[in-house]
Amino acid sequence: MPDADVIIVGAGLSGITAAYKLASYGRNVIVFERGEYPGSKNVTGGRMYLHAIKKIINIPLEEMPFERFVTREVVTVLHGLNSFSIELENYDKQKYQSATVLRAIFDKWYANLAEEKGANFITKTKVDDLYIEDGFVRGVIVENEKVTSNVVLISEGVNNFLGLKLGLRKEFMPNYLVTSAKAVIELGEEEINKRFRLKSREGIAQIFTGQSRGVIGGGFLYTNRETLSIGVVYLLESLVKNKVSIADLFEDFMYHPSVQKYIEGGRILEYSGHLIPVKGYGMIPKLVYNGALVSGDAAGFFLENGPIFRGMDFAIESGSLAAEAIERAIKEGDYSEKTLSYYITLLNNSFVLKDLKRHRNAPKIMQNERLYSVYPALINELLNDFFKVDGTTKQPLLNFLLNKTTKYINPIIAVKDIIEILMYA
Amino acid sequence: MTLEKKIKRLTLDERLGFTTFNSDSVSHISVDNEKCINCKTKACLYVCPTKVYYLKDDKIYFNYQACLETGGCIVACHVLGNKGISWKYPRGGFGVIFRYG
Repeated sequence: MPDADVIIVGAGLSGITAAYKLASYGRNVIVFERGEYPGSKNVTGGRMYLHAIKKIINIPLEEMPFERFVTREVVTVLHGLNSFSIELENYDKQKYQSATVLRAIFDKWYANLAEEKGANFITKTKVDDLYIEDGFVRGVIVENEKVTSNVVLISEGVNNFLGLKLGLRKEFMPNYLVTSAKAVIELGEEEINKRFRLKSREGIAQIFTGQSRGVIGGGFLYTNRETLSIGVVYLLESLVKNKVSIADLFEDFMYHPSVQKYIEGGRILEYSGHLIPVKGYGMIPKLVYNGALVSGDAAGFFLENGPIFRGMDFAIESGSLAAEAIERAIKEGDYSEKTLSYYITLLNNSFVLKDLKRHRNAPKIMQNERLYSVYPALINELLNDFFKVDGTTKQPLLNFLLNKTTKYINPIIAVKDIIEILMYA
Repeated sequence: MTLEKKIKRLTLDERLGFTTFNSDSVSHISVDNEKCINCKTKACLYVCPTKVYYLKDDKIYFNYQACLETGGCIVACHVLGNKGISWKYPRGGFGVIFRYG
């Protein structure tokens, strides 16, 4: 008899979801987490789209440990000391579709629910290797000891070192990994409401582009209940190419007047960082092996599409579908790759692979350097001059637009860029 | 900029002072400077949010205790650098402990 029906590597959203469901089915589940507690190694920018978690837990969203529900989406384009923003507001409570979240807090709570269902979380324990016998994954190696199970779910996060060892993924390339630096800044609930014109539990998700010294990436700001999550994300390859440190760009961002006005007087509670797999559909590893499956960030389930960043809803859904596939395999008593491939069928029928497939070209837009330098400069200068009244008589609007635009970019390239965005986004 | 006076600028070390760590006595990072000396990009210097790696007298030094465990350095070093860095997760229970995340 193995030590457990299922071993789950990593207490992130997908691992915890799988543990929650499998424990609910009455299965004996062990979750190994290398951190001090579930959530202690987990970081998000920001915000979770709520459609996936709603299907797992039958608790009103307001009672889950979310920070604020996003009622305002803002995209801000920085250039010099200038900035241009677009805002979308929605105060219809029925239509809240995302919430800001702090993962060390949320995941700890979520893991508790899974524990109440009977899942066994073993923290401060790193899985060093998979235990393989006769071409089957039959458990894991922790601290030189083997712990056995019928199935192992690899949900260890973006780095997926176990998957690399098993040959499920290739070596990563720095042109599809983004690194982030983030600070949580305490302002107090009332001050945030006042500063951002919000009522209690209403929140903002704001992303920034421009002013990154030519590096591909940008900034973000999310309002939590009493704190702000603020930070930057940049493509690894682009940082190295431009010889700029992400730590320095983080500082540039924090002290830009358009950002500084929000954090003034605040107190830093934590500085953090994380790696994000941004190639989407193009970087999904082999997802199933005899006795093993891969879910969440470890499976590369992440989508960046313009100002929309999704990883957590994919993590929850893939953890849930992995649990369903594992449950079926346990019932059949067959843990072969063929049986476990039911997971892939489920993924294909779910929003996980449908959305990732549909947006498989979105990373190409992200790699367009002009979005981070030329266009932010152009749009800010256009608007600046459009609003300028200083006694000089202006050209007709059409001439003005053409003159300004051609100063920054060849119109043919601009048209190509627009078409690409319309096609790929 | 006059605005700057209103907010105290923090150095990276000061910012990092707010993050909780349970540092292991053994490093989870090692650097082979014989490889780094021939590295043209020094990619590790740019991708780490806490500047764990730094250059002094043409050598790469590192402060493993400040590592936030992103894993970015290993990809940057092995693909764009000269493979001088060895990096793995700290032992279970050690390393960064996010309280907010």
